[in-house]
Amino acid sequence: MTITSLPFIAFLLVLFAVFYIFPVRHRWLVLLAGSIYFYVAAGAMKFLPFIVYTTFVVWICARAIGKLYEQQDVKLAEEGLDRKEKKQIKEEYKKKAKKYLLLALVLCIGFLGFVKFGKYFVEYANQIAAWSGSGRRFSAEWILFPLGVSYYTFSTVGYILDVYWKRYDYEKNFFRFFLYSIYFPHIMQGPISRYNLLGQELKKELRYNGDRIVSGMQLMLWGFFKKLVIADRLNLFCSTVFDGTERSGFVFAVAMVFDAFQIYTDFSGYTDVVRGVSQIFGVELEKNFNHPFFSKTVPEYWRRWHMTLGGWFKDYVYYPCTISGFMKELNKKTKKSMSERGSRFITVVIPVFLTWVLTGLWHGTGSTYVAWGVYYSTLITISVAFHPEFEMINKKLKINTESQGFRIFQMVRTFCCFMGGRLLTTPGSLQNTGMVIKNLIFNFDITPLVNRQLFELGMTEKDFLLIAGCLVVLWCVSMMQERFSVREKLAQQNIVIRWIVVYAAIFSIIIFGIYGPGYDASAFIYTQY
Amino acid sequence: MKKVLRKGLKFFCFVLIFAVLFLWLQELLRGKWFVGGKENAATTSTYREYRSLEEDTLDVLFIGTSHTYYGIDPMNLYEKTGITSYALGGPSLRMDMVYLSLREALRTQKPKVIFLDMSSIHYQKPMVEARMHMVLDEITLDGEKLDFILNTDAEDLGTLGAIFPFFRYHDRWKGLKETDFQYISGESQDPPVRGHNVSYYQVPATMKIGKVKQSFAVSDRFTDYFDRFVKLCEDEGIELIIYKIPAPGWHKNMSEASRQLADKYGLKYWELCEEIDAIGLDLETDFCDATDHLNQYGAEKLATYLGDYLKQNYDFADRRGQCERWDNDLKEYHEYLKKAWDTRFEAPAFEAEEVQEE
Repeated sequence: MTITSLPFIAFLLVLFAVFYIFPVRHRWLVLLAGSIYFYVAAGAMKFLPFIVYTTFVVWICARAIGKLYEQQDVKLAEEGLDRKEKKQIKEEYKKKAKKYLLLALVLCIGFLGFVKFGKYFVEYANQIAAWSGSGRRFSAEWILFPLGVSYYTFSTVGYILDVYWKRYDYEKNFFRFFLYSIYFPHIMQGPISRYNLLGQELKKELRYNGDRIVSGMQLMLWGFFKKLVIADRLNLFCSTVFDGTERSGFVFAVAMVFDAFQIYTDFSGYTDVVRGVSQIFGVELEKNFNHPFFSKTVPEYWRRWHMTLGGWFKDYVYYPCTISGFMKELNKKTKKSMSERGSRFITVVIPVFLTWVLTGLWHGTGSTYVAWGVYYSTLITISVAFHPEFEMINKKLKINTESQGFRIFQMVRTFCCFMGGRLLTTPGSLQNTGMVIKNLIFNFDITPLVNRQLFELGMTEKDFLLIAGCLVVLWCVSMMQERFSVREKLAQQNIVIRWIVVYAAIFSIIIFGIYGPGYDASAFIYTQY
Repeated sequence: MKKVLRKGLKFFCFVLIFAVLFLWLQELLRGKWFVGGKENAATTSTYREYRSLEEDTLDVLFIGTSHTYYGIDPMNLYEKTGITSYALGGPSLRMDMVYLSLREALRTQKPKVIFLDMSSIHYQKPMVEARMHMVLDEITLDGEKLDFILNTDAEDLGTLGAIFPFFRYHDRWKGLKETDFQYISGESQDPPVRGHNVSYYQVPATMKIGKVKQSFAVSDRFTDYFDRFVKLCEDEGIELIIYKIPAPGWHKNMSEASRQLADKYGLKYWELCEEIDAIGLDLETDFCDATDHLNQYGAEKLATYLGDYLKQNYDFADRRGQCERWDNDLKEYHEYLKKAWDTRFEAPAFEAEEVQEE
């Protein structure tokens, strides 16, 4: 069951009815039952023990940490303790808490690493076996990749780190915590929600609100439009072009632009659908996109794209790394031996590289994703480290950086950087990436447009026209969303306008959506991560 | 309370407008097969013309597969006997679909006699999905149709698309033609062929009625729906004759199985494949393909033969000169035949497995 399937719509209708029939205080239990059902229906029963395992390990360890902190607070409240003694108590409990934290991290991150990289270890083992001449072969088929494992592991690990850092209190009820972990709108592709936000949302009184339900449905429609009409149509072209065949650089250039829009509409479409679904049940999910193609720099782009993943890495990898003992020590040493700028460069580069290589590995396990991580860390490092030089060039060339034209240039530049990153992963291998680059440079031939072969690569001329129209709609809506809430504005319109917009959205999806015989509209790109 | 009522009314209006728009767009986009199109089965035209007939004005209904719409020429029969009839056929229809067709047919007409061509007896595999839609989309949605859709053994028939063809043919926006818009506006008109498919192709044929086909077996699904078919005719008080239109590919064991079924239900089985000479069919000139179908020459001869039989055995009134529409249509039909004759070499052969939408 995927969110673009009819069984999902049927599931939603049933859940909606049961949810609002139940008394308010028990509605979270309906969501829990519904989420477990969805998880089993979307993946398989065999995946359920793994999410229970990760959730339970994190919950029990966080509970132990929380209890230790409670004991610590009792001790600290005792009279007659001086500062030194208090510090000693704190260190003692922190040390104990750290053991539980490390235990949870090893068990959960270790499990995630195992399911992500296990098959590579088996491959290496087979290579070693072949090299040693033993003739034994190991199978990697038994290594499962549980649905949503990257998402729920990150959500729960974020929670235990926050509890360890005393950002908020631990959750006493396992089932409440399990609901946070398995909550069906975010389990497959995120957003990677924070416990202090989603956990609290799920704890509040989930009351019926007609306006909010209508608004949620509108968001769902917009998400379905992006996914089924734009992303899946572009996929017909992109999957045909990037099949490893040598083609004109012009065709690859078109496919690269389409691919960028495809992944954006695929992922943001999904996020809109699940945020809309969640709103129907009165639960607000975090935003995951903020019009990334309007970004002027790469760092800004990543603050607007998959925001919850970026935020997670920033809070749980980048910042801890920058303030770690190792970095402090390194900073001291480099300050002595290098210029201040050089020292700053070193202390920026290491956390950035670490964060981006790990982000790359989160997305995928092959060499393409390592290259992707290195690519972005290099871009971000350059943009941060050479900022003064760029400023100087702009000044010397008398470029008005506040002008509209320069902003558009910045947006196009950032978009090209994003396409560059996609170029490392979309063709499937670094060898294919090389082939695409070679054709982009040495074989940029527009003959496929002239002889209309371009319209035989999964998308016809009419599909191209439709996509052009859809991208204009996407751009207009995005521009409006930058300024105001489109749904709130729509709600202020009279009923005729409102209904026309809704009917247009529904019938656009039904008519122009990619589904039915010959199409596989069910696959979302980010489900695989 | 007032607020709740207002909201309820708003919701009702929203759903109502949605339903109207949905059905309108569904009619516009769904696959359509007209007379003279690339696909020889013109099911859209067939059912539209059928529904346009005045209620309860048919004397005889011929129902079955492609053999029916190729071999039965109701206008010719009318011209010769004054008997009103209709050829309600579909391409490669299995018995379940023939049964659904009969139910649909009986919504507006109550013929005195129904002739069921037995070709369906040898169709065991599920129909090609697109071909199923050619007939299924013409049948009114009710419990029986829903039951058929939910219990079909055709794995590629999408449930939702079968219930609402909109979901199956939504992608046709790319190929919409003037005829689609004419269809929904009611402007377009089909030649009055009464379900018949005119073909002047001539392919020499050899009859296999004396041979046994090894792989042939009657499926349970056929038996089940044949039973329903017979019971429906009984319930409606309509006489059922099961018969086989002359077809070169019809084998001895198929004929025997049909006869056994007829005996079981106390019905008449009329094996016309054994009456080729009596009908006056010429195997060299009267078939449009080597295995299955009569051409126009053969259909006209069969119409004469059937007309004689009907005249001798039933007391049908001669409606010629009394039924204005049929008389006018007959003139138009002759013009259509002339046109079909003139363009006979452009007509495609039946063989194409891929169903092309108009």
